[in-house]
Amino acid sequence: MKVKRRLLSIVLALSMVSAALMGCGQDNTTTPSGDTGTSSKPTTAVGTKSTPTPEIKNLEKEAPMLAEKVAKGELPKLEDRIPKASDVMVEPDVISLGQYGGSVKITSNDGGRWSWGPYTEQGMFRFKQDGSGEVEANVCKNFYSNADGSVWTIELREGMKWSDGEPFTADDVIFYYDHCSVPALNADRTAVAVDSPDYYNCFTTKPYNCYQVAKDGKKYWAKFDKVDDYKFTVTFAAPKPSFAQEVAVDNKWMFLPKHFYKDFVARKDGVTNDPTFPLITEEQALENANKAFGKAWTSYKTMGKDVGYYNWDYAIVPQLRSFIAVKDNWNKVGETYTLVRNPYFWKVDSEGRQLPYLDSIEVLIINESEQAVLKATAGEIDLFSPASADFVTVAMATKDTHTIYKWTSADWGSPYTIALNQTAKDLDKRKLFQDKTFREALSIGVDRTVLSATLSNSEADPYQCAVSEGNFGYSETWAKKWTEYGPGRANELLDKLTEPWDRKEGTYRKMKGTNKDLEIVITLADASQHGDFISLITTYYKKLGIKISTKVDAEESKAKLNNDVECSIERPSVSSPAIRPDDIVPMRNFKCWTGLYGKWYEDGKSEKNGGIAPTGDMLELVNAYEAIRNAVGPDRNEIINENVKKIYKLHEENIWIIGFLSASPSRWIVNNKVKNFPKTAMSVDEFRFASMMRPEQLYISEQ
Amino acid sequence: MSKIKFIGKRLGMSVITLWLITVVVFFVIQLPPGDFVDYLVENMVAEGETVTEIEIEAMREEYGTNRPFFVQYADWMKGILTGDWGVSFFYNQKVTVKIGETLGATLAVSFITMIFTYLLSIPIAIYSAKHQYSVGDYLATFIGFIGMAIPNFLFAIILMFLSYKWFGKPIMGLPDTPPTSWPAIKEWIKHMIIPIIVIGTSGTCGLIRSTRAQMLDEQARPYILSTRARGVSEPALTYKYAMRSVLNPVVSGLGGMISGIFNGSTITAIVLMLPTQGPVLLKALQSQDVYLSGGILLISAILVVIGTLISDLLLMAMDPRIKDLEESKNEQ
Repeated sequence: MKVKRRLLSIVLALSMVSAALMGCGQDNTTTPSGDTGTSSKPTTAVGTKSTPTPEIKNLEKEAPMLAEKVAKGELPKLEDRIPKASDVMVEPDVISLGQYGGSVKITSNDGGRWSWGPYTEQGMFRFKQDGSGEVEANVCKNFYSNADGSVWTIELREGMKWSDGEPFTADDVIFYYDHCSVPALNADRTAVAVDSPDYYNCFTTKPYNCYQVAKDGKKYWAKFDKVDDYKFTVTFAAPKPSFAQEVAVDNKWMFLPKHFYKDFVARKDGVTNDPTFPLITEEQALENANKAFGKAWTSYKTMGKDVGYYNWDYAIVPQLRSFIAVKDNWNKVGETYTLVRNPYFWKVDSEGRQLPYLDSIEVLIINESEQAVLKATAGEIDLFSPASADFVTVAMATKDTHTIYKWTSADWGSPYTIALNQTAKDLDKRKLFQDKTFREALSIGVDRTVLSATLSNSEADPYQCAVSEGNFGYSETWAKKWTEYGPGRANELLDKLTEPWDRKEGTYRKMKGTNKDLEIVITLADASQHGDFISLITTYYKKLGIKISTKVDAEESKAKLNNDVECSIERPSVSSPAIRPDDIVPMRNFKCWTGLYGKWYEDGKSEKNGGIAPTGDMLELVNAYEAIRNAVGPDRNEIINENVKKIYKLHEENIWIIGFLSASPSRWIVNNKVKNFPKTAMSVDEFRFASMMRPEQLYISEQ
Repeated sequence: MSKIKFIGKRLGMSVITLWLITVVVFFVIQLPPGDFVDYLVENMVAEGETVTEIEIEAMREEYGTNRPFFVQYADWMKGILTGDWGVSFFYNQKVTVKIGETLGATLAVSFITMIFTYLLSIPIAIYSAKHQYSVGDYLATFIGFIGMAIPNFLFAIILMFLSYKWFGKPIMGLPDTPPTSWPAIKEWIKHMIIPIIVIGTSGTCGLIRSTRAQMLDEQARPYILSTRARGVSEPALTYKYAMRSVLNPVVSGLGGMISGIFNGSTITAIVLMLPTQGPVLLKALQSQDVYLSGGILLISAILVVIGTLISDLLLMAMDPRIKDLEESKNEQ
């Protein structure tokens, strides 16, 4: 496979050269558009093509294909499919009004539910397109809380329907919460202990933090109450001011169609007289699901996760999404997985015309990235986000038909980083890794200009692992800290930290008070990853008397859970720690740099499972994060801002993760006939990547 | 009687071989470190889920991957013998159902390729042998060596790239629509060209070489010489007499050929994005989906064994020397 990849890259490189030659020829004869990357740094002149607003000829209120079905009596008329006029969601135009019809082609691999998912998903709340990090109502019509944020009221849209035409009401949300989302609870709404005989996990097997609050050292689950069909409340045992934001990150799909799922969920509350949700056993539920979904699940738990959590994998599940699947061939390489417009979609444009504009999104299921690149190079993909290495190839080959858009990146620099486990198992190493001067020596011991020339064709700048330029929290001092190459000073710093070293070729420094070589073992999930980067830093660090070795472990994440990884290449990607703190605050048990500190937090601030209570600046990170989470009252935004800055400052001071180069922007290569593609947005998980382009408002025009 | 004894002996050996294969297959697919639960945990962590050791243990219990090797093997074998091939962990579908899904496309690609291979290689080989050291022979030899020497996957990449260069569209995969109308059939033919050339070429070239060599051997045999001396025509000499021996290598290659049809050239299929059994097998192996990969490999092994059995029997029918040899062994 490796050989194959290499050969294909040679073929592609040849194609690039020939395309470049052809491109040069064409430039002489046609007017250069000036908007695509024909220079060696294609990023310098991109995304500037203005999308002309084509004249929308007829302002019909729904897609012709749906109007046809209505005329034939196969579909209810538009007014009966969308929420009532005062409740329907009106989307402001992204750029212009659109016209109905057409489809766009994208690619995904055969396990790509997370890559095509964002094109269609609709959360209860969503992040605003402006990148401010604020959430707004989406599936719900409105949401608000009481003064301390302990009771939230959510209003739904009257007349809104699932994709099968059944009404969407508060019952669907409460059904999801009570029966699919909470694990076994005690009467006081704390969770039943895992080893208790009464314990059961939630149906979707993923209990979310957004529904829990901590009070007096215990975690309490919220209570959902129905006010009427279109209104419900969420009550917490303590203030939860960031509820909406947390839901938007953790569990934006806080609903499931009760009328559909009642046959697959075994209710645990023992109620037997509810005709809308009869009591069935787990075995019956499993049997029903296997029959309905045509599967052979052997356990209720696996089935629950598959149909409950990954519900958009299955075409038969009614959805609130903009586009819905026709058949479940998303895991069949070589096939096209088609998502067609949801006839009951509940959003309209500024003229009251039902969205989406596109008839369908066609997802080409391709596993080998080279094949996707070849297709994109041939101009067959309408929306393509290439890897940095493929960008020039695709951009040059499609310069006459496609436009490049540059979205900002939430990445803290390039992927080339060194994250040292602050709680490394080897105590001598732990002591070294925790020493700031050691990290400084490692940082200044590498010539970043050479790194950039080798790894990015000199496109990237020397950069620390820091917030990218243009994003909130950016600081030049931070971005440039310890980035100047200084092998002399690095050796000086190291001399104070290790046993004396005679700098003899082939020897390494010994760790203080030991006879052990100073060795850093980098764990990689895949041997083919980061080869060039590692050989470069190995050479530089050898000059400093530090030995770099690698360990390939396909189950790298699991090794991190066991604290078996002392160094890893992990780069934070964060829009703001107020929204998603996992990467930069020690709170999860699978980050190398936080090691057992993360485990301590994950275990409810307990050392009983081997976690270690953080101290000093590491503890400060946790405190700042908690201050954000608990901020209430009129000063809430101020408190959040202040603590976000504090978290950034702590990272700037400590450089727990050493970065080397600046982040590459997130680029899209978009077919010119696809209109309404936003010129800029932030590409990050919490903002749901492609969902930021508002795919339901994309449309096709040849103009 | 001896014929029945011969068949019985072969059948007995086939069963023992198959049993040994099941042990090896089940052992080999479990060789990589970790199991399906590790694969799941890896994915769960990547999706930001919190996983604890207790949960991992519970999952191992659920999937039965914490049981000793021989217990898992015995369980699997019991299922195989009773027709329950287990459930694919990855697809949550019965192994037999999952294999059946891609069987149609796999068989279509493989059969057409096989027909292509035979139709092309045997006439060329006979021509080459009959016209040894002619321009045609050299040409066939040259193409034959090139075809054998180029790895399939590389050949596939080059053709795919050329299809993009020449037609502006890389031809890969198979069309989504079934070949029920004329335009759809045309589309299918278009998409089948590269796979047939790629998968067929190495087989064709190999077959040309071995058939040509066999034919040349036969040409020089005394019986051919004496038959020719008696005035039997050249076509009759070639097709009636020499041909029987020439078919020997063709028939004895049947075992591998039949299982090849089922596997559908794994690597080439991945490179060309063909929806055949190959990519499913790769996925199953990558995700440590023991039952699915075991099922596919077992069918493949069964087909090799059956193919070998058939070729043994066919050879016995075609070439009396083999029967004589067996009989003389029994007499001793």
